[in-house]
Amino acid sequence: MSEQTPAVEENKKKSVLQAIQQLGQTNVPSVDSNVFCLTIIGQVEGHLVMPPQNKTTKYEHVIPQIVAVEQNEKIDGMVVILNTVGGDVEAGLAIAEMIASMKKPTVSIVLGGGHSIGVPIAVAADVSFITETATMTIHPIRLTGLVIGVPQTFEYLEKMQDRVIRFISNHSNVSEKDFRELMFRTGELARDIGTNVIGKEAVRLGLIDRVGGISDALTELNRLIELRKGEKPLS
Amino acid sequence: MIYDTSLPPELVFQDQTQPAPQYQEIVIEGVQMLVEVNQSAEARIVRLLSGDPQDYLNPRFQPGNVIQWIPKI
Repeated sequence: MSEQTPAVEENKKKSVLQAIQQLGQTNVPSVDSNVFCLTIIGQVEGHLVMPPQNKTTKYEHVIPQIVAVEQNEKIDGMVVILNTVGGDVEAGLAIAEMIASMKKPTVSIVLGGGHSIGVPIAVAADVSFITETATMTIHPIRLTGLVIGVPQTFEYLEKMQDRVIRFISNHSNVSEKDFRELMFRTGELARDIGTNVIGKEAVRLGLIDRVGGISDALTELNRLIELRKGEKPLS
Repeated sequence: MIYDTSLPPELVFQDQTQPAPQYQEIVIEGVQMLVEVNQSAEARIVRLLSGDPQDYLNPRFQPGNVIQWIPKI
């Protein structure tokens, strides 16, 4: 009989799941976690709303969240989890700059894939991690819509590209020259130019700091949090 | 627009004339989420947009759960 009790409770829980919910309730549960978890998944969506079959991370969600993390006293640090195929350059760089300019400790972890504009977001954190099986595709940016084949267009594209490359080389251990070489390498990607780096290779190139999983990332984040607490002047 | 994505453009910008599912963002108990709205006053949770990892453990907010809304009069 006693064994049945959990099953009954389970059913009760399920009925609660389907329970009628009213909108607009503002019963904010107390925050147990002192770590904010920012997930960057699918496409990074910028000024244009992407077609609905794309899973997107929208900058209007992410940017206020980062502001809130920086401001909220209950949150001590942020972990950025990346599994993205890239997306809008402006939005990606905006998120990356926001993360890079935070005072609170941040760690990033690349799971699965952190491609294209996911690369600057990954390197923006104080310490970056990549799992052994995760990959990062490094390749040139694309212009959608009409491309007029005049030299100015290429110059403009080159300039946009430089913003991404400069940000990455400033926030990681890879040099501008090496990164450019990776970006324009031919023969590694089918039908495209660029490189695909996996786990350890990304660390060897200096793009990512360490190979590791979630426990490594959280351990490092907690270490950074303790370090920051120690630095704070007593008031 | 300038994109830096590893997906080919033809995959990202598929036919936009196809009917799209009716997604809507709502906030319940302080948790922001994306729901799919259907004709009856019901919505199915598609994904949570919260940054608090604890919210993802809340059994009521699991993706796929159906929320019924009652208009407040």
